[in-house]
Amino acid sequence: MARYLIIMLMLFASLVMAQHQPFELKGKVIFEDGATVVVNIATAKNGKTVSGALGNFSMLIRIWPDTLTVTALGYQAVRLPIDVKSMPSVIVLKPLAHELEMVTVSTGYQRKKANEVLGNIGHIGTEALNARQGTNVLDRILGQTTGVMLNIGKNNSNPQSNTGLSIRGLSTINGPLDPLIVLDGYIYEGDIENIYPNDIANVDILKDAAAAAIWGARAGNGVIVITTKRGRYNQNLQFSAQVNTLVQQKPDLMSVEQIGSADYVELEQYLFNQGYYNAALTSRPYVMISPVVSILQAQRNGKLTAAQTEEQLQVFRQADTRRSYLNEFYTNAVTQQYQMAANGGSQRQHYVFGVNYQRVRTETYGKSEKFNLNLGNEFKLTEKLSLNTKLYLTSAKQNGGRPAYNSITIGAKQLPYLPFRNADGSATAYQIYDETYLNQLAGGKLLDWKSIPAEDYRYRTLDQRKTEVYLTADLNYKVLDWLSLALSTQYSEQQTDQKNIYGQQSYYTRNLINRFTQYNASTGILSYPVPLGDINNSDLSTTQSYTNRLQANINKSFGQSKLTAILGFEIREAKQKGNSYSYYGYKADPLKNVAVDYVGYYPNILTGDTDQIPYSGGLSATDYHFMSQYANVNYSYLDKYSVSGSVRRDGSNIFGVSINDKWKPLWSVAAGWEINRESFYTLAWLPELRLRASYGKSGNVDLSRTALAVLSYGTNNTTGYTIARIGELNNPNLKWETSSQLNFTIDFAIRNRQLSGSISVFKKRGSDLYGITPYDYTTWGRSNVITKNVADMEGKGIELAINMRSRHQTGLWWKGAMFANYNVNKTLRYYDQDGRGMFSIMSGGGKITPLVGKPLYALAVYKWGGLDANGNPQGYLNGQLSTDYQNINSNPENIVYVGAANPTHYGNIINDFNWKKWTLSFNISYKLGYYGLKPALSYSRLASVGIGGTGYAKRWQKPGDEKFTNVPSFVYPFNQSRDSFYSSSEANVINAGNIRLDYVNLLYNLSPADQKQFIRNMQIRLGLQNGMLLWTANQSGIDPDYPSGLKPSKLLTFGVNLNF
Amino acid sequence: MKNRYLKQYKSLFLLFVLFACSCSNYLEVKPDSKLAVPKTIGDLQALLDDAATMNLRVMPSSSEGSSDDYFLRDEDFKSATEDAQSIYLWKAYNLNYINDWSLCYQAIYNTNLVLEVLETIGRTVENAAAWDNVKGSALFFRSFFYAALISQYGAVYDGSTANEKPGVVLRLQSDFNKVSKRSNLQACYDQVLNDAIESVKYLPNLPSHVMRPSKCASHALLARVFLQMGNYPKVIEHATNALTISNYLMNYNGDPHIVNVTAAVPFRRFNQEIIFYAEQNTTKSLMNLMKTRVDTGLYHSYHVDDMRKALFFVASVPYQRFKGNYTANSTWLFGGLATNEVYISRAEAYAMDNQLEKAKDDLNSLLIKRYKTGKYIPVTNLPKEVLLDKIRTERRKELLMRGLRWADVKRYNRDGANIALKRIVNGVTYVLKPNDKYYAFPIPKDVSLITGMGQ
Repeated sequence: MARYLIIMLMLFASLVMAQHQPFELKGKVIFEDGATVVVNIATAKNGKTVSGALGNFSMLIRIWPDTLTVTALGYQAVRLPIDVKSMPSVIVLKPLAHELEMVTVSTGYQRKKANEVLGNIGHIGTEALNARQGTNVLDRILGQTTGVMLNIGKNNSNPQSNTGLSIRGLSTINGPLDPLIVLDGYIYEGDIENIYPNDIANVDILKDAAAAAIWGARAGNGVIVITTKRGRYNQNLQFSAQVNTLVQQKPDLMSVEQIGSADYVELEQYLFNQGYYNAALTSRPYVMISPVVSILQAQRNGKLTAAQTEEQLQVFRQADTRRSYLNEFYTNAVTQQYQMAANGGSQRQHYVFGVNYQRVRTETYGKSEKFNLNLGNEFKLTEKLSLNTKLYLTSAKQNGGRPAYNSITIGAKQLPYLPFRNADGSATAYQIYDETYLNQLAGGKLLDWKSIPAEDYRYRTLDQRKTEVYLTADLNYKVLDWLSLALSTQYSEQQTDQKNIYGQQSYYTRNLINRFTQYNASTGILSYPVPLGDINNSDLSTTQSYTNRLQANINKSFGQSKLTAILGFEIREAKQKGNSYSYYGYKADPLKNVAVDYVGYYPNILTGDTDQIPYSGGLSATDYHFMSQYANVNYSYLDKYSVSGSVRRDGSNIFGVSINDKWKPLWSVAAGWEINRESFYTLAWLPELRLRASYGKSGNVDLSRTALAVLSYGTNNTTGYTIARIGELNNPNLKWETSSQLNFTIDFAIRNRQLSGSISVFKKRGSDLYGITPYDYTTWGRSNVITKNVADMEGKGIELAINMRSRHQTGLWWKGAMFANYNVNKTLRYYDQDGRGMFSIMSGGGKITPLVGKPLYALAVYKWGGLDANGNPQGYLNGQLSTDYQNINSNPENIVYVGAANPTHYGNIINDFNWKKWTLSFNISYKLGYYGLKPALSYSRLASVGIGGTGYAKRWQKPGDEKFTNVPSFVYPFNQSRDSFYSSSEANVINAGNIRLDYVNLLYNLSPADQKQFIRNMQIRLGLQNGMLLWTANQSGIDPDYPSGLKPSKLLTFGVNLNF
Repeated sequence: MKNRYLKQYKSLFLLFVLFACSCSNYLEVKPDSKLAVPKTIGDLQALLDDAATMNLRVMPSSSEGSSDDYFLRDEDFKSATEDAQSIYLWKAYNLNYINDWSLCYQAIYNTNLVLEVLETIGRTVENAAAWDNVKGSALFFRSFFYAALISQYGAVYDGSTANEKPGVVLRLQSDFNKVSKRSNLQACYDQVLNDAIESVKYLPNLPSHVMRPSKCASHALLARVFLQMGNYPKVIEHATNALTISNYLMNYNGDPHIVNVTAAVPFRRFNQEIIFYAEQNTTKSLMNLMKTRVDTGLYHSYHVDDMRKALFFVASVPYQRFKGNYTANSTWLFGGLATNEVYISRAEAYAMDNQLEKAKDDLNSLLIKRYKTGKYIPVTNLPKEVLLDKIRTERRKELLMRGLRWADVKRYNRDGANIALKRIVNGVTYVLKPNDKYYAFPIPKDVSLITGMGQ
């Protein structure tokens, strides 16, 4: 019995056959397990059909030679030349799940068969990439392989940390966190959003050292290799069209917990009566005040009666800023995508051509449009010489939308009670400064100084245009049958042109014009150092990069041995240029702007201070050079034993003083053993078993570090002199960070491959990591710490990937994939200032806080002793309950370590059910073993910032409440130590473990039975995605990834795919 | 057959040649166009022209925060930061980075680096003017910042004991591997004097901008330092030198640099009295002029005809706030050198040196510009003690919030003035006794821990 499912294609050739006389091709498809799955039968010239109920089909052949293609969902396609004489009667097909052996993975430098790779590479094919829709390919790789995690709610100041993705956890502390992104074989430095996800054929994730080390100094965080779609030789012209619509609901702002409006009005009234605002109101008439305080002030000054005051306050009590935002600024976001593509090929050439258009309306009415052109060609110039070219063009434009939640401040606060409309529907205008004071300035002739939140965005234009060219060309010469040489080049250029225009009616511009207005009291004449008109802050930046590569590929078999190797040399340059400028008195039509005096000082009409006109201009230019030599050798014997090794040497102009220090060798070794091929191996139920091991080192380069004693230059606006400043101390010993990794993998498959998978165990070590170390700032006062290669960290993990499939007699077909990850890390060496390290991990776990022995994302809190009878939060001091917050807060003994603040267990299970033309798939993901802090109430922040934490309504109000609540009582004067003790205490810790329904997709495949139909097949896709929470470990129902309550809302996707 | 292989290996060999070659120039390109290693005189001048490092909000302000010209109302004390409170009550033992110390030493690092690199650039006929200006400026700045540091962190100067008293850390090289050690007070004063005196040789009389040093500034600085040391003939000498170069005093009745008396910020920026422009820092927000109230007795000591009463103060009923900054800003305090300081210093020195006539003249030439036109009654012959007392009172009134009061109280107490500072917070009275150890400010705790210097 064959191990594989067999499609028996029995051809009863009705050989009524004259030369090129049409004949009827009859056949039958039989499935071994008796199931009946619809089989698509297609030819290039003679139309297409599907199998009937019993697997029978027939087709009229008018033109031949032609090719017959037999496809069925879940099985590999079979292609046969149609020739009456030599048509085989039985064809054996391999099922799709076994395609693994056929899959080729890419390391960026070479393509290899998946089963020949000794390193750990996660391969994500087209189908898996389509499981999750969206505009960014990086969102689509989540949950499709092991080891990849999106870190939510983490901040990192390193400029090379934008994706939030980590591969096998962290390997650095202060260095860049982004994995290296490789597009069609070259490092991609552009905006990943520029790449249309449906243009991508597959993505390979290089996880361990053996896979990634070939990328050397930038591979420490893992590598994401993206390969775009290509044509094939000897393929007929095929068209495809695709339409997608994605609709994302308005965010649910109302679930963001905040203090009630009436409560806040009451709070401000209380504070006003307590004199909290007095200092500001009496000594600074120009202080910004909130609308409620300004009403209360008017009442105090006798301008409002008690009844009028009450009436005005009532408006605010009933308003809700969240509702105002939702009504004015938010909508359902809609993304529309259209794609047309064609591909095909002859014997000597193949091509792919595609155009995409994407239109987005964001949730805040922002608009963007993007256009892509994708053109790929491969030519066989001679038998030995081939040329492969790829051109990818992107043109995108984007307009800013309306203000996002919490971006508007009135009276320098984020107030919870702001209405944006008056009762009559007109936009509410807020006078932020004291009106009486304003009226006496400049003879009352200033521009209106009110802020009108509902209107202001109309006078603001944020316009961004991006173009990108990405071009690759590879010239391949086959020197010998086992040796080829490739000369390749890549060029990319990205240009971003941004205009940020504040119209004269915008608050920003009016405010600036007013502040600088000069008033001559004797003549009554106003002059405007900031001229009337719009303000245009524009910014133009260009990024260029090129790579030139020369590579030898060796592929030779001798006897029982097989040798594959690459050897190459590469130079790469990445240049960036920026140019920004502010234009005042700007007008687009007729185009004009007014020169202003950036040097002079003008008295601020409000405060009397002298200020200079803000200047946001500047020029920048960076130019990074890299030079690399690399080699990778893979040797296998008897198809059983294989070893591989790679070595790479990188040099760059970033580091060190002498050339020797600029070069850093990195390497990896790996070995594999296919046990099942041994003669002693007899486990029939486990026919496939393979062991792999690898170890190696890769690096992590932070482009912002420099070892030169560097001055940065500028100009002092006051004196006009050139100025120079030392940004960092000379540190000629600065090196690249190194990340080493040890990996063991077992691959296995049971009989019939109904279950296959792999288990990996790895250990990572980041050494020579950048870390701060204390330093006597008497020597140089600019910093009290200095960065050196002084830190180490360690990470380890286990990864399990399992693929299962099963078929029921009814034809119901199930496929399951499970990915489970365990990943922990800890700091091994880091400087701990005054032994106060425990304090550093009290910041809520939102950033990397290195403390020896603790995870990089860690959480510690003050020990919590409950509320006392007066509603005061209690901590512990010397083992006793205490409310001496200053001492509690400064004593490390009161701190308890909670645990990791990043998941230690995570993974997902994908289920695909297929029945006839329908496929239902859904993904359930989990993250466990980590902790977070919920946003806690801080009374002082509530007063000074406006929106400050949650739980005001649940606060302690009367004796006895301490039994039900942990929220402290309100006290005035504010006690910041008390607030900060409470917000960093155990009372606010949540177990962040959660399970989500990540996506649900429903697919309908339509393959017209009638061969004359133009459309070959059609797929309709309906999907729902975005973290629907199924279970949380915490009892309060807080979504631990979005503790503030503002989380991405549900995304509905609808798509149609046509092939013809 | 053999030949064919040879050919094939040739191409491989070529590849290896390429492989091995590492074109070193390719990696020598500067990664960021804005970066440079300091090499030229231009670089050095640019380092010293970085006003944000050398002039603006850099001068120590803790000592002003501990001085007696102002007080805080209870509610303002409550709302002040812990650091500000500790300074106010003379308990500032915990002022960690960023602080007065770090800001001064940052500027000092620049001066040391400049002086070192300058040594490697020869002085030629062509570059002489630029070279001299860099040399003189670096020396002046170093002297200026060390003088500020010792006024705050050093004990009061007494020639007989200065060798045993601790001063500050004298760092004269940019090498950050050298361990910091505290030098004695005498060595510190010597360094300050030597640098300033040396700088006079190189600097122009007047600078092209008052944020750059000049001969005039060096002399004014020397007059200030010698006054602290009690070397009055030297004060007279250098003050006279400074005033010979620039003796401009604004007429407070209507100088072009005065906006008007009611203005929130009455003085324009870079007024003509300023010899060298610097500002006190605001890192710890120690001096928030919105919250500080001027000592009531001090305010009432201004005569009604004294223009300063209106120009310096604004009512914040029932008290007064200070607004007479020479920084043209309502919050940043002036910390540089100006002619009015030089006049009043020389007056005091003349008086101490028993040249009462000249002392009286200096005082009169200053005050006549401060009073309403025609209202000033010049001081006539007074006994030395009375005149001295008058000069010192006027010094305090003239140089309010300039970062000078602390050092003045220190030296007056050394000479037996017996001034005790007093604070009342929430009904509790705090007193800083004359000559208290605290007059030499504690060294920042983090520095003393790392270096093991101790207090």
